[in-house]
Amino acid sequence: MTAARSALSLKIVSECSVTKARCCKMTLPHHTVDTPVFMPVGTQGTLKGITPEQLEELDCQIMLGNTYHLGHRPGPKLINEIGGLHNFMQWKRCLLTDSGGFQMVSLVKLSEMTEEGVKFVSPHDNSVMMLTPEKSIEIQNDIGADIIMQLDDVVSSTTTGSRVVEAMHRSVRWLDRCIKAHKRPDKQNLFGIVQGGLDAELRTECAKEMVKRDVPGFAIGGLSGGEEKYHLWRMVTLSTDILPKHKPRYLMGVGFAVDLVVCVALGCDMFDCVYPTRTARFGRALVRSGQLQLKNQRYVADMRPIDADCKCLTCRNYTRAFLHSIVTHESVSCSLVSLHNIAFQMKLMSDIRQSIREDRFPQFIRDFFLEMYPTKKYPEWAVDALDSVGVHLNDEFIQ
Amino acid sequence: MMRFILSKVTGGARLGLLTELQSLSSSTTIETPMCMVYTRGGIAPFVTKDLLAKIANLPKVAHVPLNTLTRHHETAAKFENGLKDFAAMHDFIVYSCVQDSTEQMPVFQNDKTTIAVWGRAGKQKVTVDEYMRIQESVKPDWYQALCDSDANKDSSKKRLRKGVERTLNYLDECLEKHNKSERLKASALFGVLEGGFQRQDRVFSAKETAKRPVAGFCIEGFDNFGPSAEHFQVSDIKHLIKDLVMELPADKPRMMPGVMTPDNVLEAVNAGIDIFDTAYPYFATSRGCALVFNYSLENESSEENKMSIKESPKPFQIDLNDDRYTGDFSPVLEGCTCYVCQRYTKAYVHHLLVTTELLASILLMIHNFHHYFGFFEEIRQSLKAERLDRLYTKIHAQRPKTESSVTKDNDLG
Ligand SMILES: [Zn+2]
Ligand SMILES: [Zn+2]
Repeated sequence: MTAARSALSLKIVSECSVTKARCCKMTLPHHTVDTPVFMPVGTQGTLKGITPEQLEELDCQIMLGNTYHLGHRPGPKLINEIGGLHNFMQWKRCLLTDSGGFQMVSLVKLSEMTEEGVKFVSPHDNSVMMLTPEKSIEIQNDIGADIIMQLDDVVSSTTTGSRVVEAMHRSVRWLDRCIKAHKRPDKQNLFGIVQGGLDAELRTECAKEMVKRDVPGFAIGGLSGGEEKYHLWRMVTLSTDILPKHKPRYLMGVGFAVDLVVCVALGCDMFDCVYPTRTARFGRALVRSGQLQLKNQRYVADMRPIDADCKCLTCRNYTRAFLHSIVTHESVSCSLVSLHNIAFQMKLMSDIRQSIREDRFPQFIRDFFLEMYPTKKYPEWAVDALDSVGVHLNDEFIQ
Repeated sequence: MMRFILSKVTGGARLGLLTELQSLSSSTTIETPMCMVYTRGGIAPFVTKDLLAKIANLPKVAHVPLNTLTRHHETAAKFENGLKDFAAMHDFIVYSCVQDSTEQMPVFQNDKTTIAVWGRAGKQKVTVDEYMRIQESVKPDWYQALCDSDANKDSSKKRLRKGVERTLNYLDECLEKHNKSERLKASALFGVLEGGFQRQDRVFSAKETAKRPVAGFCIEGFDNFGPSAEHFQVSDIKHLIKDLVMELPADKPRMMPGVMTPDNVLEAVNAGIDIFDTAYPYFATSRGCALVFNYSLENESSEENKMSIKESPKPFQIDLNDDRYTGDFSPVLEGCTCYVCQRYTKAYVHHLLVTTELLASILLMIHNFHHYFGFFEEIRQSLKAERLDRLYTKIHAQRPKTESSVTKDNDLG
């Protein structure tokens, strides 16, 4: 196969000498992104209550937009007319859009997978519509994100049997259709998505087929639907073993702190999750030891900031007591807690990167887990996953 | 304690200076006429403080109505500087008051010993003791005495007289407690003038209040606040105000909450009012509107802007919910130098509104504050340059042609 034109270059800066973790510089049209990276989700062309400039100040390098939502409102034509989503929302750094398929299957009750595409009844005017791989790429070309995703045949991660086999093969076929339909490979990077449910053989086969297609990067999909973590890490690690080293690996829909640390160790570079911003709306603030429910009466006179070490606007100015007095009452509290939660994710990733660069990532992992689980009741899946890459949480003698 | 220096009077309009604002750096003074930054629970609505700080002509006074603070003042009490420490408002002076001009106050609920306010948990009745305890916790730079402002155009004479009497009694009780309070030593106490639309009561209230050792005056009790205040026309009462300010010493500031549109602000300035609130830009923001009236004496509005104001159901603003803005790539207001207009299009704000995204309110609040603060700066400059009449003419020319188009429209959601 001839190499496709690409608008992405990945330079591996450092590799962990123990785990599969690595630090890279991923150069995209709008910004050079340091990986491993967390990407906040700005579904409708905005991140909940935060301005793009504030996001830049938090050192956010790349964020997500949802094709399903943006394709409906304001619509691809309008976004294209104003010069892309970057221009529309005034975000200068990188963007990634999903294919719209996952959202469609999870949000639209009446949807059906056919070989041609996802057939669905529009929730807006009840007409029968079809999202084909070609259509998804066309919309994503109009939106103009640095990274775009193939349309894949989504099945719930708990589905088993022939449906999973069919979905895996179809996803490979759809990747070919997406590559063919992609009109701006010099400006946007199309990623393939490794599917295959929780079946190791299917995953392996899918990953191998995907790798034959010379796309700029790969995602590991279908693992954010509440499956057992026992399966998740096995599927992730077998995928990263097959995926080429010189291309980025994006683990879709995963973003809890523990999952991030483990999956970086398993060799993933990119992550996204709505959780940090969604949970902010309910007054939940993320900290290394878990999270604070700021609504809770225990914070009524708590004069400490959310996190004394955090440098975000919220922690520099406000006490837990003050935030307690406004959360869920004043909408500005949503912005304040979101700002902190994004800062938390960014700091976690930057600490991870630094420890990889200094080749002390295994120690970082042990410290991180001890802070999160002071009683050392570590989740079994995490212990197993980390064991598999040479980091032994329960071994007292290894420092 | 805060002092007021009157620098210039033109007709009834006053140019003044608030000085000796202890909490700000010693050199900081605040020019009047001015408007305060509305806050809820001790924080500006929608806009985080980094963005707020970027707004040009930002007034350094935070307006803190009691209702959104209920109960949390107890925590504020633990701080040396009260609410200022608690809510991280060190770069502001704090004005604390009874009723919230953006919300209709409870009607027919006040009595001799308690005043009703809408708190988060519903209606609350506040006694003088409780009120002063709250103020001690908040420790404002300046606050108003407890008052019975439940009055409007239709209030009976009897009701109005009662309001005046009660408010004077509350003032005396507040003054007594104020003078004994260690924590409120540096706070300025304003008396509140009541009397509805009754000239006699108004003059009596002014005369009596002026006899007390108050630092300034609040003129309230023309309407019950909230959205209906948008229909309140200062022109209906400007003679009343002129009469009552005759009774007030010139060297003390006068504030009037709930004055909304720019034409009304100018009427009130002309009648001798110095301090206003920002309920108007907050209302506009809450319903997805942008203030677009032209107050620049140098620049004419574009024809397009004139047209869109004319067609707007609300005076002086445009409704960005309107589908006509779906594909409008022009800034919210052509020529506006605010953070929002330098970056975003009407189409984007419209998109944020139809998708009910939080950023819509943030961007609109920034533009609307910027616009309103800029308008007050123009009032001050016009007063200095003796051209307030030109500003008045310019603003009045932008009023909707028929008053009925304003008053008919009651859906203020
Ligand atoms: Zn923080
Ligand atoms: Zn503007």
